[in-house]
Amino acid sequence: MPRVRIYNTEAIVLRASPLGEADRLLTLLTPGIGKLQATVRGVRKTTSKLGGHLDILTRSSLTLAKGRSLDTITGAEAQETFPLVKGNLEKLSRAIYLTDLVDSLCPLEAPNPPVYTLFLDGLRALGIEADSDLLLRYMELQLLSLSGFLPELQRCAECHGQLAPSQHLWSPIAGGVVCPACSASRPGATNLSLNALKVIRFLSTATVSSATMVRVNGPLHRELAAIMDTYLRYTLEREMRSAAFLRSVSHARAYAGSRPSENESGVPAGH
Amino acid sequence: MTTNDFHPTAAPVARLIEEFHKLPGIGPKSAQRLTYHLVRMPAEEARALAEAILAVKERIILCSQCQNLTEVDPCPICTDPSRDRTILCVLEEPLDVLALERTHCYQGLYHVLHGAISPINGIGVEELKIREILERLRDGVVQEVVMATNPNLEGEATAMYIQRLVSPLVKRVTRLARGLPVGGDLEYADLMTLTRALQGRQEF
Repeated sequence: MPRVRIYNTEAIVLRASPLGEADRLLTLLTPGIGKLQATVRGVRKTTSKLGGHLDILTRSSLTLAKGRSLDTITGAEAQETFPLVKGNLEKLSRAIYLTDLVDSLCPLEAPNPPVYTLFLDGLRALGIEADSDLLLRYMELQLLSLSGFLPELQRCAECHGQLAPSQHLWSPIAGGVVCPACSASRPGATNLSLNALKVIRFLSTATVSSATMVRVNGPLHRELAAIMDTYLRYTLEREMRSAAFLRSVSHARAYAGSRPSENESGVPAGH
Repeated sequence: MTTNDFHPTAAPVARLIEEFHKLPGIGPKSAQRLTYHLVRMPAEEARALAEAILAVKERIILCSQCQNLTEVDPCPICTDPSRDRTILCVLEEPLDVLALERTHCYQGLYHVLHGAISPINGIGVEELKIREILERLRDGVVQEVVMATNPNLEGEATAMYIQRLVSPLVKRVTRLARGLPVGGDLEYADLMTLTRALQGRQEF
C-alpha cells in the first residue's frame, strides 16, 4: 500500500513553542492518532493565514503533510475556540491546568479516543460551569482512569481487604486508600474523611453533567484538592507548573480584592 | 589512534559548528555554512564579530525601571524628558519595544516582561518581571497601563493576570485593539479575529 503523504484530522492544540524565524512547534491532541507533534510554517507573522486557527485551546480541522521526523500542518480551520473559557482568568487558568494534565498523562502517538472526548467535554463544561473546582477533580480522576493510573478507592490498596467505614487513609505510594493496619508500613499516609472518599468514588464513575451537579463545602473542596494534588505529584513524579499558576491566580484575586467577573479580559468596550 | 576516531573536520571547526548549532533557527547545514564562511573571512572581521558578541554579554544589562536591555541604567527611553510618564506599555520581549518605537505613535514608557505566562512550557508568574510593574506604579504617576502582550492564549493569560493586579493602582488598563492585519485577506481570517474586528469597527 502506498504511504499516505497528506492526511486530515481534527485536533485540539495543547502546546506551542517558537521554532526558527516565524514557525511554531505544536503539540496536538487528536482522536485517532493520540498526542502528536507537528510544525507549522510562518505562523508567527501577523498575516499568517493559519495563526488564528492554531492558538492553544482551539479545536481545529487540520490538513497535515507527513514529514521525515515531524509532520507539517498545511491547512487549518478553527471549529471551536472556547471564548467563555478564554475570557475569564479563573476559567483560563483551570483550562491551562487541564491541558497540562492531558499533556503529562498522554504519551506521544498512542491513540486514546475517550481522552479526546473527555477533554473536549471538560473544556465545554468549564465554559458554562460557575463552580469549576469539582469539575477539575472529576477531570483529574477520569484522566487518571483512562490512562491507567486510577487510584484504588474500593478496597485497601495494600492488603486488598474490605475497608471499614471511617477507617481509611490516603496513601499515594500504595496507590489509593489504605486500611489503618497497612498505613503503618506506608509512611506519608494522610487522613481521608468519609465524605471525601464518597465524593471521589462518585466522581470516578460519574458523567460530566452529574459531576457538576454535586455541591460540596469549602473544607471538603480543600481536602479533595489536597489529596488529588499529592496523588498527581506522586504519579507524575513532579509538580505541575500550571498548578502553581492556579494558586497565583487565586492569590491575585485576593490581592485585587475583587470578585471574579464573567468578562475581565481588560479589553475596553468595542475593542 | 584507530581509524574509527578519525574526524574529517579539525577540532576548532567542529567546535564552532556545534556552537552555531545551539542558536535558535540554525540547523546543522546552516551551522556548517556559517563556520566555513568565517574560516574564509579576514581575521579583523572575525575579531570584530567575536568582540561584538562579548560586548553584548559584558556590557548589556537590564534597565532597573523598564527591564529592557540597555548599556546605561536607567535606559535612554526611561530618562528621556519628552516621554509621557503617565502611560506605561507592557510588552513581552525587548524586540516588541523596537516594533512599537518604529510606529512613532507611542510617546509613553515601556515595561518588558521577558516572556509570557506559559505554565506548560515551565514559565510561571515568578519568571516574569511582573512584581517590578507594581513597584513602578506605587508613586501614582502612571494613569494608564497598556497591555501589549501577544494576541495568543499565553499573551491573553498574561494580560488578564496583570490587569487584575494593576487595576486597583491605575485609572485605566487598556489592551491593544485586535482585528485584521494590513495586507491580510478577509476570507482567511479566523472566527476570533473577525469577531473582534467587527466589534471594534470604527466610524469611517
